[in-house]
Amino acid sequence: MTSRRYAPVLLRLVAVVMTLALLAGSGAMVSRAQDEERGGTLTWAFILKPRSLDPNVWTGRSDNDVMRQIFDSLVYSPAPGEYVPWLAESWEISEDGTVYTFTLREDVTFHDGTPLNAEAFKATYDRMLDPETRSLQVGNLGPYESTEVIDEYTFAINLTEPFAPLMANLSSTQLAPGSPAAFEEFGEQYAQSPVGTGPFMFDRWEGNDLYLVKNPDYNWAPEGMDHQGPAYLDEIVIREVAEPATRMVTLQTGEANVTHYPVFEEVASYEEQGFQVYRADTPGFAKSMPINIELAPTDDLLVRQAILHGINRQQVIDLIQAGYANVANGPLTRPSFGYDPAVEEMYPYDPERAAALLEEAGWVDGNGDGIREKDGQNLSVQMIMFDSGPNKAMAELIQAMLTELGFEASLDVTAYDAFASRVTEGTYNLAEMNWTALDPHLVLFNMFHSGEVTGGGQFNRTRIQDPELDELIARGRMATDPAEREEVYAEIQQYVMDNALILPIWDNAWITLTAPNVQGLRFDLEGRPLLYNVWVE
Amino acid sequence: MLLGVSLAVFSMLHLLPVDPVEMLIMDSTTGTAPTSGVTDEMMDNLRRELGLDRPLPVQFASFVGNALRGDLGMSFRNNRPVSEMLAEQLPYTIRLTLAGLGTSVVLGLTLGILAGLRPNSWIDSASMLLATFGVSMPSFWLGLMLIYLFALRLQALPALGVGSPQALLMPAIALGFHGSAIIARLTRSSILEIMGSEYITTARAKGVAESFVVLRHALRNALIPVVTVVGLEFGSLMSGAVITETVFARPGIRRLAVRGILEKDFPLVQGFVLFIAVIYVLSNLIVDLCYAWLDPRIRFE
Repeated sequence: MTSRRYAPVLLRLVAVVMTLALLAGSGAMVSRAQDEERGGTLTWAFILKPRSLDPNVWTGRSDNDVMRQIFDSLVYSPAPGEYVPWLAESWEISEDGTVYTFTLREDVTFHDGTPLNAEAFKATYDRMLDPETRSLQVGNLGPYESTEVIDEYTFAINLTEPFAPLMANLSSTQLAPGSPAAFEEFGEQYAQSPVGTGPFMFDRWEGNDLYLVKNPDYNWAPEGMDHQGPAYLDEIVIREVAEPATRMVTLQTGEANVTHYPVFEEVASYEEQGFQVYRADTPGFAKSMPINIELAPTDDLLVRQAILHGINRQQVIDLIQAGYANVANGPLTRPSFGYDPAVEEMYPYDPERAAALLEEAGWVDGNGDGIREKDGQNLSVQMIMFDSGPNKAMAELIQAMLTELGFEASLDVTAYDAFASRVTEGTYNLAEMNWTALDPHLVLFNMFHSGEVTGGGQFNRTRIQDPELDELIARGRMATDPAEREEVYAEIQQYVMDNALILPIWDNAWITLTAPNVQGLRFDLEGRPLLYNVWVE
Repeated sequence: MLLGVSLAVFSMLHLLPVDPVEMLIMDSTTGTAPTSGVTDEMMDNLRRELGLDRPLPVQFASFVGNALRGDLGMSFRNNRPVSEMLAEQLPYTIRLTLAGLGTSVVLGLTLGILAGLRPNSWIDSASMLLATFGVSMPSFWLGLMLIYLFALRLQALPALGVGSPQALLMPAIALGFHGSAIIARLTRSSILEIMGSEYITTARAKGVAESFVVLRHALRNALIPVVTVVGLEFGSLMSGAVITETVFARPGIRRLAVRGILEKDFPLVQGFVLFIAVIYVLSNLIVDLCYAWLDPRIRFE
């Protein structure tokens, strides 16, 4: 009897001793883990199977998230307009802004063992210019003339005229060097088996799943990363999960530990459950609806201003993005180089002011049907939108808000191709635009230059054609002095908003969700994850 | 026939008001281009490199000529041979199609026979209710519900439909449920009709066991309309199960084709359509052969 009574006490004692021993052991393990034991596999529920992993030829937004892990750039940009060494140790820009001379690190090799040298850069850019490569990234080189190899580790990029966005472009993946030996070896298959200098190497495809492995030789991370040497993660698996609801579920089931393009309504509840939510606000062109100034009634400035005052943008963000974005007030987002805060006060939400502007323009509801008329014509606007991500819901909400103001708003939500042909025809009042870009020139040129109204994607959907604006855009491209560029871009932002050319809605924000045990995730300026710093606990 | 299909899809693609080169420079997910300052020169170069500057009859002739040699051309967007892309995705499509079809047949026949043997019983009502449910329920909804229940709540099955054998289970059910409803209804009415016929009475009079009567005499004859449906269903599952593939994140030629259509990747779409046409022809042939086997009165001259 007595032995039985004491047995549980004994067991408990043993348990306590064992727990203490375990605690002591794990304490030692934790400190060692911090030094060298970080690692793990990251499985990423990815929106779309990367079609190409060749950054010099073609990049989709999501493809580039993968390329960033495989390819390093000449320079790294920690803040808009600021550059620190990465593959380049130092650089010099000629007085007239047409010759960029770079001196490379001497200890860098590609994943296939090819040394990184000046010839590799020349091979990369020559290949981009070869028509057979069909590169869509040539534009990033601007008025490019040639690459000149000065010695083993020094080369110069020669331009025919100054091109201020070049440094920003060089910091992105599009102009990252690829292995010349791999260009030769893989030919057209290179896009499926890329060879860069980055912290992760292409390993293999399995079905639609892409496997990357750690580059064990990596020792050239740019300043500002949390460590030097190889990445922590052993392996990255990119699994295509196209359906948003399924992507969210894979985090719960543990089939993935990171995902993006979430179902916004669910993000808050995931955060409550301990999943980590990251939001990266990126530079570039805000999520906007460009307003066609050639088609009535939006050819009238007063009508355009009424639209800007009459749309409750914060409410749009709350309902469509679950609050995960800042209200946009102009063409450029807040983190952009040259962003001018002066636009913030120009068009506050003010439905009464919107109504007054419409009345001033002669649009009144005479017959009481809720729709304003002038000269027997209804105040009708045509909205076009392509069905992707939040677009449809956003457009429907704005359509309802316009109706509230007395517009007769029609909305066509279609696939991108049909949307593009409507843009070509010019049969719309409000279209769509958003664009993440490191340098403001890229987006401002596309959206407002007279040469972009037709051809090449028809990105000038406001259809403004003003020599004065063209001149400003050209000055922004050519100016080598950053202060002068900032002034020019402030002027362009003012021009755009004075003329109410676009309805800005939100500043682009990219949301990433990870499992609670994924540590160290950070993002570059373009909102691309830098998995170099990540480990799984 | 295959030539007709090729011509039809070729004409449809080229009649579209959209320029494939315009689409090529775009990322249709974000609606942005990968680069700024796309020049007319760049677009002309692309058009030339892709062979889109040639007259349409020449383009069609070269497509047919190459297809006869098994070369379906290079995908515009992916810059890879279309036949290679289709071949890579095909095993996944076939596996899912067969699993879905298997689900349809097993579930459909079982419910159909049970209902047909006991008309107006509770089994009959329950089966037919399930069948109505199956016909009217969209497969993506069923798929999401299955994921919610088995992957999220019970944690019994993976949410992603690829990787392990049990991963195929939910996609197969989501895909096959609709077909099983049709098969169940067809089997029920055939069985009902046949069980009343004279040769069944004869068979029973001979003292043949009831199970043998049903399986050997009744089912064999009842299967003919079912085989027709299964044949058609095979073709449509091979070409049309894109939603199930998307919900369960499975690779497959159908999703490849849908992206191709959205991005105006002409060679990819043409190659896919030609391939599916071949599948339809083959599955019709197999169905015809099955008729002859099931009913010896059907013989080919």
